[in-house]
Amino acid sequence: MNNSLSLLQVYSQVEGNIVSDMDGEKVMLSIQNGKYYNLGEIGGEIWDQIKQPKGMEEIVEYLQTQYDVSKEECTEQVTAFLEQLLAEGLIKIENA
Amino acid sequence: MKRTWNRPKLEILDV
Repeated sequence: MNNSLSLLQVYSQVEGNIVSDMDGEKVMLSIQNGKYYNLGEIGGEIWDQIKQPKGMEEIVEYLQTQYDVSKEECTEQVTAFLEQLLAEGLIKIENA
Repeated sequence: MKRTWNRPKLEILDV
């Protein structure tokens, strides 16, 4: 499992993105870098979850109420997804 | 019933 993002940190959206729902998927334009993104359906739900700062455990617990997925698999894949968002400057991380 | 899980992925759209 990738541990570069700590379970003790909270994640939240960076402001300055135009977001729209399209065919059940969430698409986004970053005003900062001018890129267009598709977060997909589950990525869109994760994005909605971090409208306010939220920890990994809380995000995973929510997703487990909606999807048939183990805590381990969910944590690993959400971590990887958040790392992608972080690399693109779409989210910020703060210490809890 | 819970929905089917798929790995979340960020797709960068080349426009």
